[in-house]
Amino acid sequence: MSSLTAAKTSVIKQGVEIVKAQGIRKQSPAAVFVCAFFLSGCVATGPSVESAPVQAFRDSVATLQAASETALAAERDRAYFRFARERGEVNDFAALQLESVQPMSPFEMQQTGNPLFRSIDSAHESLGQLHDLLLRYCDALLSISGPDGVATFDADAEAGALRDAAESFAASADVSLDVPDGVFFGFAEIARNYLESRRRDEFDALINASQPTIARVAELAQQLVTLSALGLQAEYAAAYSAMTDDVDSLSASRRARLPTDLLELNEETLHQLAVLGDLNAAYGTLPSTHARLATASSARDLGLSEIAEYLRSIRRRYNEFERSN
Amino acid sequence: MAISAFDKKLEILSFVIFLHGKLIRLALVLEQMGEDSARVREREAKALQTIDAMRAAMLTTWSGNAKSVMRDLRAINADAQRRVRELENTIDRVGKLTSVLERIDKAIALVRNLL
Repeated sequence: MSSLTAAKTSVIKQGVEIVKAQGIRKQSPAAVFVCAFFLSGCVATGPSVESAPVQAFRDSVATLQAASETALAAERDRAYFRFARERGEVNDFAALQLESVQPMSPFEMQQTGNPLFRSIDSAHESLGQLHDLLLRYCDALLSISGPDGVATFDADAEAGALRDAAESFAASADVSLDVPDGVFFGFAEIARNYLESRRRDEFDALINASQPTIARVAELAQQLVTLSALGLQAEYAAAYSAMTDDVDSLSASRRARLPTDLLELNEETLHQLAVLGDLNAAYGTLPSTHARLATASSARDLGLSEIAEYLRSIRRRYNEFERSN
Repeated sequence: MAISAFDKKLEILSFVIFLHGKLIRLALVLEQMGEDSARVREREAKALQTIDAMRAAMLTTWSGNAKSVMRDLRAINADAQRRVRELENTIDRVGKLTSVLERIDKAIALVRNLL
């Protein structure tokens, strides 16, 4: 029997003995209250939820959000400049005009023809909203976890009040109450564990209920990252074609610079694709990391090293690319 | 895991992008040989139009799918907030224990009055 269980048994025993010692009838209010109180302390105990892994998970989600905003911008920027170039080539400036929205919407205007880069913007906005919701979910998990969560209370004070009440009760009945402090202060531990146990239950239920949705979020994010990578490939081909089309009409200096420009385009494209590859892999680790929250007692247990390595790789690639340019 | 319709579209898009790249290369090779590449360039432009249309459609589908998952996430967050509120009620339950103590005091006072 654990010391805690022994303490609980002892508390109950003491309560019953107090009632017996007083010869109070079962129906008397005092007996009912005393039993009710002692039995209230007899609750399941369990490990508390550590907030460190939840905070680490939240930090990873926030870092992923920032990384995705930067990485996905590459495709958007290329689609934007191609749209401008193509409209300019055919003198189609009407396609660049913003129009008012009807019925009256003073704070909105829209571009005719819904260019591709606007669709990309819209999808990125949706991904941002998904991240925001994910972070709100993480905040809820943080509320439930850790010693400073919502379920804190001064258990020692409660235990002190119990002892005072019991002593007062014993004194009023003129009996000796030979109860060691430890028994009553043991209540503090029982009550604290009771609340922590409740938190663990609530926390695990949330993790389990959310797991399919988190997996779906990760899958969606990976789909968008993959679509962005293919979009980048398409934009590369369009840029390459535009740069090499009708080479004979280029000036001598532009023609001389063309191979270097093409190589720079290649380098930039390969760098951006590699970043998107890391981002895709990082999103892939999200579901298993989330599932491990149910059992992790430290950030180390989450197995964040994998996702952290991808995020470090993204940062390294940006640094290298900036240095090379 | 079964490949979703979206993943199939990604594969098709990938193939059209590959084809587009090959058309660009063919046009360049023809031009280097002094041949007319107009018909290839025409198909290259059509391939790019197809790619753009596919990307736009897939981005719209993706946003639609994201919105359905957003609904799920909102439901999860509502559930989470409910659980947090329940835990706050747990504090109330602890408060109730305190009130039990107070009632014990009152009961003791009643018993004392009987003595």
